[in-house]
Amino acid sequence: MTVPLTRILMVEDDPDIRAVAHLSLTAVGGFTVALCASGEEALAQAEAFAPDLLLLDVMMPGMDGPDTLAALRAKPALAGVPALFMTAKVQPQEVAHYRDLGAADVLPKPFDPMALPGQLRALWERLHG
Amino acid sequence: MLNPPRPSDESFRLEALHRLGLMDTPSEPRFDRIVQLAVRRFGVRTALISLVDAERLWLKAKVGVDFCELPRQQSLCAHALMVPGVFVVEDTRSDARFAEHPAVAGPLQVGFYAAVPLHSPEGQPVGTLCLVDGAPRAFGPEDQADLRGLAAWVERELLTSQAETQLLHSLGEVQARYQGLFNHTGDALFWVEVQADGSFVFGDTNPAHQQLTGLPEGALRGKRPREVLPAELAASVEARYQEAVTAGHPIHYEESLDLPGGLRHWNTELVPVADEEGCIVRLVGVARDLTERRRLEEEHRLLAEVVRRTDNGVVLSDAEGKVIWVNEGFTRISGYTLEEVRGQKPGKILQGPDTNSATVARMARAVARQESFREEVLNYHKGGRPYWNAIEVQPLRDESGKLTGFMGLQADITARKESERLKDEFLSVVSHELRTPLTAIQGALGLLLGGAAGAVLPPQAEMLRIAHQNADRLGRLVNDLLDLQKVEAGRMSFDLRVQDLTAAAALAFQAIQPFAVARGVHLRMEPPGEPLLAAVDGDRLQQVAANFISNAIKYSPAEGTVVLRLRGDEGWAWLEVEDHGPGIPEAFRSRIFQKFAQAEGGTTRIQGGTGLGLSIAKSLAEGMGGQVSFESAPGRTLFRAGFPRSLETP
Repeated sequence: MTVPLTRILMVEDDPDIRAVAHLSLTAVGGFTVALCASGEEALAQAEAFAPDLLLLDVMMPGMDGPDTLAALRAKPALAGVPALFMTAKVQPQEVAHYRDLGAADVLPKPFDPMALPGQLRALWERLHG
Repeated sequence: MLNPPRPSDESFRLEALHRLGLMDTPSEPRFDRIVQLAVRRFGVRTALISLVDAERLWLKAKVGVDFCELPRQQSLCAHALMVPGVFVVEDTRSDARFAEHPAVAGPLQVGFYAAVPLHSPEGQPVGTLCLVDGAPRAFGPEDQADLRGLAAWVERELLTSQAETQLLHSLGEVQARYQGLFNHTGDALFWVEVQADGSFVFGDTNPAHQQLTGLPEGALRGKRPREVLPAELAASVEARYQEAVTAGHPIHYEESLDLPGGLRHWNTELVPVADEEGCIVRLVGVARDLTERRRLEEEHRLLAEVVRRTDNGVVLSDAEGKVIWVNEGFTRISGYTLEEVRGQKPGKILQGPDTNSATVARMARAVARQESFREEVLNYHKGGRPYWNAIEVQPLRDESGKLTGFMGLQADITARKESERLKDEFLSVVSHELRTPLTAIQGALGLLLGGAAGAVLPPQAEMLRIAHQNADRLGRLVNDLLDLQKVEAGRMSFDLRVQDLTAAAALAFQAIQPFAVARGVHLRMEPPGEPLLAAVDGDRLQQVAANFISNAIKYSPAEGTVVLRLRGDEGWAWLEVEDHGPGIPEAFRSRIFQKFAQAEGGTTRIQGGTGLGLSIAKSLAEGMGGQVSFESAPGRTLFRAGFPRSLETP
């Protein structure tokens, strides 16, 4: 029996997308969510929040997604937490690049907020199946 | 016996003798006449003109003997040669010097001998005029004076003979020289004989004339111009010949003649040749073929004009890379005149602080290796303003391959660079700044429609659906635009793998099924009966298929059918999409694959197309080495994309 996915830490610089994602992940998905507006904020909160999954925007001012992931992974408590990048439509070799950086998968933007929780659970099953 | 002495300058003497050119030549009346006269005048048995060679005495003229030569040692003439004035031995037998001489004691029985040395025109003694008789006799002063007179006559004839020999020799040389010139010169030479009635007849032509005019040897000889040339041409050349005859001196002119050897441009000189009475009997023509020169001159003139006037900068430099010449374009682009850059290396003058040092190093390496190169480099105008230059440099070599210099072409690409930068910036803005709010809009509307923010009333839901649908449409437009920009800029990368096209087409088919259902259109797929392999990018192929299918659905009537067909033929794998809509208007067909192309009156706008689908499909297919085409008639339209078929298994 797989441990259910419950705690998601999301890093996204755009406040509107944060709001949409929050509603999607809480109201539709029923997850416990920590929202961070930047990589720095994520670094400050992540250990205390102890997420099951990291959801990272790629393009952000200051620390971008890959930088943030690398910094989070440097913390022993977070080293094994799976991460997903969310980014605009990308070419196949870019997806491969993000996977090399340690992402479990890449979700395209724009995302369907009604379908997003289902996609995350399916991924979680796959990772722990 | 007394041996004949030899002169100290014997070698000069022999040279002078041989220069006469008389040794061993046939007898000549001019010399025979003198010895005959001598025999009569002096009443002697024998008179001789002898020439004394190194070891022999040779007789050029003789009376009274039947031999031609004697050993020098046995001749009395060898003695006489060394004596100035007349040498006389009135009684040889009683002369102690000669009593035992073979000429005296031998069969010749010489009793009397008198001789005068003969001198060459240079004054060297070369022989004698001598008298011989069997009996001794007296030879007084009067006799001696007459003999001297005859000897002087012989010497005059020797002079004449030598001059003639030399003249003939030079004539032979001259003839050989001119024959060579005639045969081997590149100029066309021809002779024209002027007849007594004033008409003209062609004479010989040289090989160059024959080759250039295409008139073989003998084609002209003995013929009048009008017999071998078209009437108009004959009249024109005859007028020139007449002009030369009338002028009486050489004339020059240029003419274009269309002869069997082709149309050629000539520079011709006609030289009149007069006979002894001053009457002109012949013309010598020397024609130089200017055809190639004219062509090259014209070519050079045009090239020089192009180089001078082109907007591009042209720089010529020597083998060390130092400027020899620049055109006006260079001055316009860089601000530097020829005087300011002559003798300097262009890079030194044009490059500045922000010039890429790696580019400069690459250019320097290419120059050192004498290789051509193209680079884009940031240069600085004389006024300090930076600008972008596209540079192409070619090494120049002489015929032996030795480097003589470099030719550089420069184009100011600052505007292009700026527009590239703006385009990149725009793309970046579009991809982030435009898509980010769209993501928020689409997400928010999706959540509202999905009831995640509470229940919505049906009329509100309808409005939200419209807003959501149009946000999606805007999102597709942005994605399409980005795809098109990428593929057009060559920045779209394709992950080409050999695969079965059917699988990728089926994915596109499934993905678009909901759209077909919404539009009330039936979709049918006709798979091939065999694997259809080609090297394509699966995702991009899906995009091509989806664009074709969605286009077909949009133009299909309600309850119409759209067919997705895959088939192979020799060498190509084809993906075809067929609909039964109104067909593509004739006037629109040439623009069908252009960006934002939508036929007038189409329902597309109402249905939310971007006008980029077909254009993207074409760019993507071509980017994968494929091709697209279509055929259309009212009631049936078919789009196809073809890819080189692969035999390799995936």
